[in-house]
Amino acid sequence: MVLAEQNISDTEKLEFQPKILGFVCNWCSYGGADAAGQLHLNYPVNTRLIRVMCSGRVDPQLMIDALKKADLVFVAGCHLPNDCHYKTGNHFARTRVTLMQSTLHHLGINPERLQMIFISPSEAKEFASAMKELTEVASNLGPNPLRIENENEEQVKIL
Amino acid sequence: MSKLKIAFHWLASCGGCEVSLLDIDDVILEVAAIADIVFMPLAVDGKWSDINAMDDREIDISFINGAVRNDDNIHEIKILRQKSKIVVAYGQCSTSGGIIGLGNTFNVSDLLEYAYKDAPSVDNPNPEVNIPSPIYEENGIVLTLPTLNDQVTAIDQHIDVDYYLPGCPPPVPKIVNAIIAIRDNKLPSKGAFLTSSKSVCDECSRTRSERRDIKITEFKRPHEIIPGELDDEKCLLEQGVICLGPITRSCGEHYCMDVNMPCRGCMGLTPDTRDPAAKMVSVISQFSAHMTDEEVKKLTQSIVDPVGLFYRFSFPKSMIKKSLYKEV
Repeated sequence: MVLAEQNISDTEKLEFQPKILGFVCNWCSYGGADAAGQLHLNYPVNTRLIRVMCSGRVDPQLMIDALKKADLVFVAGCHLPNDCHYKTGNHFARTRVTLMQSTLHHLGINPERLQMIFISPSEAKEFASAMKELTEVASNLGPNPLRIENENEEQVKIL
Repeated sequence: MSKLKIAFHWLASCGGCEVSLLDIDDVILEVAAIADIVFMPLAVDGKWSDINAMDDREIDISFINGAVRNDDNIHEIKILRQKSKIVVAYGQCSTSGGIIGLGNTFNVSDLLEYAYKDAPSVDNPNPEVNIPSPIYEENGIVLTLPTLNDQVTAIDQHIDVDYYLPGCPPPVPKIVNAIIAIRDNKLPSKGAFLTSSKSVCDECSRTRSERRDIKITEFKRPHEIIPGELDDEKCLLEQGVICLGPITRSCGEHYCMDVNMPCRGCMGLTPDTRDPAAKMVSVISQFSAHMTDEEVKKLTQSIVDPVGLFYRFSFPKSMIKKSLYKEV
């Protein structure tokens, strides 16, 4: 038994533009993203960010919601172990992402489609290079089999 | 007063819901007093031609148990829906897929191959030929079998359902309450679950300390627990045993936790749970503050089958619904 998705051909890779959705914590990670913007750093346009107050606020159900619309989803939080504005939110986010990766793997979805990263407000360059890296990972993974193109839930109910 | 006409039908089912009717002991006499069974494949003779000949809405209540696995199931529930005033999804399989829903962890072709070729107890001399197929033709005669659907589904994904009686099987007090509500014409509004919306945790007799410094690096499966090792009064989750109480509807008087077994989730999901695995990941993560990455890895590895564990009774109604994979 192998995962449903297999590596796509090189020509397909050139044409495929992944969609990446990121949940970014207000205090550290969004600060880092903002700093990258202020410094006019370049990074691929494939990512969309959703600002949340804390990475610990991201319910795993939201991670699955995001995986139905994007090819790769990431949660960005403050550095472990002590940087979280709310003390332990990033601890919980880290564990949730790890456990969800295991669940996705058992469901036949590549666990690399869900990632956790840590960015501090001064790490503008690190944010830009993380976005570059995630876009490359997403391009290599290919289209997400979970992704449904239109809003109609009916499509997922019965194949 | 004329008796109610009731039907009790099964789809892909283990038969346990039919047996649960016997569990209600002498309340069955109350059922006999108020109702006539017009259709119940397990217990009484009846033909689909009789059902087809009925007027629309002639059956007062149809209780349907079992999950939808093939085309025949869909065909039959559509007929029963047309001929019934009220349809009740009886048991967890018809409510949310139940155990049968775990069939969605495999593709249909793999299920058939395992059952007719690869299972250790199978001796099939010609597996290419001796395997069920939807059509068979010989001497000009064409025979058909129902086709297995790609996914197991619950009945409300095909027909309008009036009430749900969840459980695997529904607990006796809930069945009795439902019968009394039917007898006294006191059923709630359409679409209701004939049971509590609270979670098992709300009514569990064990105590939660809710301390924020509990750290669990390894969850134990029931067979790994040494007898006497656990405290009888304290919450099982806080002692490192995965209990699905937080996401499961409460079941009534007798709880598995009272006999030292963690909740399996057989009453189905609370109304606000869209995906049981996602919610339980959150529940388990609460014990991970100040853990190192290695400890988190150990914790993850101690949960060896998250799909079978968390999705056991509601896979078709979860957010992902099906395992995706290809054979090598």
